[in-house]
Amino acid sequence: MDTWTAIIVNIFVVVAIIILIIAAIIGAFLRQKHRARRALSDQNWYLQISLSRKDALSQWFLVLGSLALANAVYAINNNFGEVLSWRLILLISVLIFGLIAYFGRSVYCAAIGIVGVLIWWTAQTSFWQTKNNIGYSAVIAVPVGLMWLAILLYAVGFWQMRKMAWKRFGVTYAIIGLIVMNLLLFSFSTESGLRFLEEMTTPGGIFDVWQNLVALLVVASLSGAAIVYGWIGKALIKWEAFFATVLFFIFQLLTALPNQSLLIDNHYTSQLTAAGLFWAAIFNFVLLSEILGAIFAGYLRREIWMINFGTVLLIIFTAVKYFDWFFKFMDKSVFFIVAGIMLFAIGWAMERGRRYLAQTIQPPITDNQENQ
Amino acid sequence: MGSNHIQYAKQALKDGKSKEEIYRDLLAHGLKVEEIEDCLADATFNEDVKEEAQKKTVRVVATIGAILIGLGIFSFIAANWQEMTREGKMLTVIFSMLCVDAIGWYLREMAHLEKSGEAMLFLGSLIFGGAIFLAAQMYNTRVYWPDGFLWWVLGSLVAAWALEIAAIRWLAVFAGFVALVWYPFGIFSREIYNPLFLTPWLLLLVAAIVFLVSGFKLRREFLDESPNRY
Repeated sequence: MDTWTAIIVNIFVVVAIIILIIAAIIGAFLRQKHRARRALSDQNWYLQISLSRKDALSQWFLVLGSLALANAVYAINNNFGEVLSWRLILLISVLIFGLIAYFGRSVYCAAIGIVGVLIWWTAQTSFWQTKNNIGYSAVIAVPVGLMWLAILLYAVGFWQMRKMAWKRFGVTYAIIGLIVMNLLLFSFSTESGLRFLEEMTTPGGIFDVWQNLVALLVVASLSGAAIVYGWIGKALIKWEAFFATVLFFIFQLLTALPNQSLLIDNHYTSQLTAAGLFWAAIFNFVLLSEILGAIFAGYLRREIWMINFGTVLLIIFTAVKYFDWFFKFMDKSVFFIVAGIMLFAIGWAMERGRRYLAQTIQPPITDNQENQ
Repeated sequence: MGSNHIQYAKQALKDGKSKEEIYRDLLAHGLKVEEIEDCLADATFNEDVKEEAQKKTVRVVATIGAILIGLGIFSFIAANWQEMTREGKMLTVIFSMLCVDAIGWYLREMAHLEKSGEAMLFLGSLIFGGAIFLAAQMYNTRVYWPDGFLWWVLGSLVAAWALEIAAIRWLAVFAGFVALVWYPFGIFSREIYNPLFLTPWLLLLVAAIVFLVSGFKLRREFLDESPNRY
């Protein structure tokens, strides 16, 4: 290629890139305009991440303001020789996010605050266990507390969704609750999760760490009250309340579990014992029921986002479990052909099912409509 | 409300009829006020989108132009780094910033070329950010690097407050995000741990106040527009 050809090619490439960038930005702006217009008029407005540019910008400012304040507290604490632990600083940060979420009506701050609470719980309960120098068993407070917090979030979310103005907050709480439930159940349904559970049932006991016990009692009371209150106040459908109660007690049972032997290690492989098989079956069954329950609840509640969310989880669940269970035992070609056929069949069934559900459900009734 | 009503509203607007006249006509056809409002919104929607697209195109092209000029200024300084004195570098940057801001102000306020003026003012904020890092680097200032982004945030937010330009607000969000997400790691890894060095927390506190005041002000405006949906 001679010099002139190279220059022309380079100019052409640069011009093409600039045109593409400009087209992409214009397209994004136009889409945003359409979306913003639709968002404010759409009956599903509460599923939008931002309702307008002003909404997004103001929420980002509040998030960054809260983050700066949290960082300032952390820096001051460090300058004064770490008077407070970083976990306490994290809790203070969560409070800052919570207050600003409430006063600024900011769903972004609320979401970050909730994730902060979950991280704080994990860090603090692990710390209490380490501090008391008890065996690994007290760490069971981490997953149990997280599950109860997830149930609490789910119930509070649907309670809040009854108010039209707070509906976006409600959806956020419910989605975070569902994600945490699924992550926990999924973790325990795998081999490494069962190994973790086995270690957590070694002698020592949750009752030896009074801080974890008190914290769990507080969370259990809140979670239990949320289920009962949600069921009585009809924020939860009776099937949801029933399933939440079952989940609550399964995880409550984990805290009182005696020493368990769930896996037998050979040189390179490990095998499930009878108890291991039992718990693997329980967690897999509960996980599948939870995902199908989310789709069913979406249908009963006339909430299309729950159906979509459950559908995505079901696809992930099916794919992961198929790999987990059959990859070692089947011929690879058969494995992939069966996987392909199965996914195609699932896709076909889901497309039909989802369309049927979406067509049969009516727009949700809100308090505004009820008042009319 | 049918499509013929929307067609009628479109035609009437084309014919130069006022909205009051269209209201009267459609009320006479038995439509309710809310239906007429929807009708007019649909009739004017495409025109609004077209006009908005043209405005956006100008804004995008001008903003990309501003970014390219900024890149040019800094690449000029980089190319002549060895030859230029410290004072020369600082004067080039400060002079560029003042010139760009003055041109932006003139275009927006005097020549009424809003989009082009705002693009130049956005460029002024970009040069301001670049100048902070350039000054810190030239004078070997001992600071934790996210501090530079925080100073940039403060300057951008003040500019955004005075000028009400969305692009500068997004610039502040970007700079703030980079600084504030990185900050805890620096403190945690004791990179900036020094009991006598009190600048970080003070700067963070000021940034928090500025962000929160700006955020609540904007939020109030949003909530006034959308009181039942947040």
